[in-house]
Amino acid sequence: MSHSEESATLEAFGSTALVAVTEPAALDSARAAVERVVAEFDRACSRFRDDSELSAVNARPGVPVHVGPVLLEAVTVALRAARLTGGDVDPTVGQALISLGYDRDFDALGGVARDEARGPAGGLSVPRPLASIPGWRTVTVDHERSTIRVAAGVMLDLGATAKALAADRAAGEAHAAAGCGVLVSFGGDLAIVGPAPAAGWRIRVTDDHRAGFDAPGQWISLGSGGLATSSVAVRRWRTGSGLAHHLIDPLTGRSADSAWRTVSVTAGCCLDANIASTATIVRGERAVGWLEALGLPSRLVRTDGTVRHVAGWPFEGDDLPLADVGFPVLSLVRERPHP
Amino acid sequence: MTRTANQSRAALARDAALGRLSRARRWVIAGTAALTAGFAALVSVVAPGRSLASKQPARAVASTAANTSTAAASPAIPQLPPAASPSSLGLQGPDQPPQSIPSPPQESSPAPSAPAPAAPAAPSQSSGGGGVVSGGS
Repeated sequence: MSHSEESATLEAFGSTALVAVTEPAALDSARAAVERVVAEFDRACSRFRDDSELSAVNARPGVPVHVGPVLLEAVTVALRAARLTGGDVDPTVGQALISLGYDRDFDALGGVARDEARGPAGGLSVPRPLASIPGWRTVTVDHERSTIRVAAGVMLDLGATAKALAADRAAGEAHAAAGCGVLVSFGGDLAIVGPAPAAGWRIRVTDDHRAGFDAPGQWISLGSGGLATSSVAVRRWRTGSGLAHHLIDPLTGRSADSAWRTVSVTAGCCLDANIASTATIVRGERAVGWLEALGLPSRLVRTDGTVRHVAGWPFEGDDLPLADVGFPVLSLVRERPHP
Repeated sequence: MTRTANQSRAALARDAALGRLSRARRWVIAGTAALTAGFAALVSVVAPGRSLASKQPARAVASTAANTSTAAASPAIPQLPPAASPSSLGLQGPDQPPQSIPSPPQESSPAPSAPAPAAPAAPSQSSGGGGVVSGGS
């Protein structure tokens, strides 16, 4: 950002949020709009609030529960994410997360220190599965009656998509309120609405959204759409059988044992970027072709600290060494920047 | 000598029979293909738009569509379902890929300060700044 832009930070969804505007005078109105959206989503979608609408749905399996438009949309997009990823991003992983010990706000959980978590191979000792995943098809959304029904034993967790959806909504509301270009970031999942600064929004892509600009990573600029970063190097905690993280592989019900430590994806909106980055962590190596086929520029950091850039993500200026992708000629082809 | 002549006649007869069999097989294959094509063409004319999976005849579909749309002036033109929105089709790529920034920002201001995890939400405001950090959360 240049000096003509202004930004403010706040806490939202258990992470650091940032609001930036291209007109400094509009920052207060933009921030107020973002805070309204954060409050709406927290009240509707939090798994850790007893008074949230999501808790009401989870507490009454088998019964259609009347909900407001925010949760209705959040569950709808979560099911869309599951459909588009063949179930790799599944909102019914709530019980698996609880079984792994993630049953309260993460700050109260006592996470693993950042440096320890980011060990050479991620330091992950995947705990045994404790809960099977019911599957997203067990969730019924009735748009006409504004109801959501989950089957017995299903516990929804919207962490993968609700935060990104909130970023898109907050950026839209802030843009409408401020009348200028807006960037909203919730824990590193960011959405851009309105005109960007002349050189684009400057973004440091790294493992942890709370890290400083000097953390190993890459500087990029982005003018529109959304960017999401998913990482198994953060939001980790100890269990009786090893370390766990919050990205669940629905196939196993365990923390995903991924080939990637951190995945950043840009897309038309933050939600789509988040769906792709989360699915890539779960899918591992086979996600590369999928991202290229979708044309989603992505930066993928392996657990050994090497990096791949796919589908037009620039490779210049990355602090991390390029990953060996096999045959040298193929490597040149894959790593070549798009025109 | 007689034995050799008999063998020769038998071989000729065998070859002739095999030739007839081969020609007959070709005619059977060609005839089957022609009959299949003809039957398919006949069915496509008699029952257009129908399939084994369809529970509803094509005429009824056209009729239903005509009832629900004022634009259905001609019942012969079946109405298509409403177009899917772009978001329902799949993940949308960005308008432009990200661009690399060859050098770090000139400003040395730190990343937007993150409040301590246990601290209550306390909005802070920073002027300008060097950018935004995107990482796992």
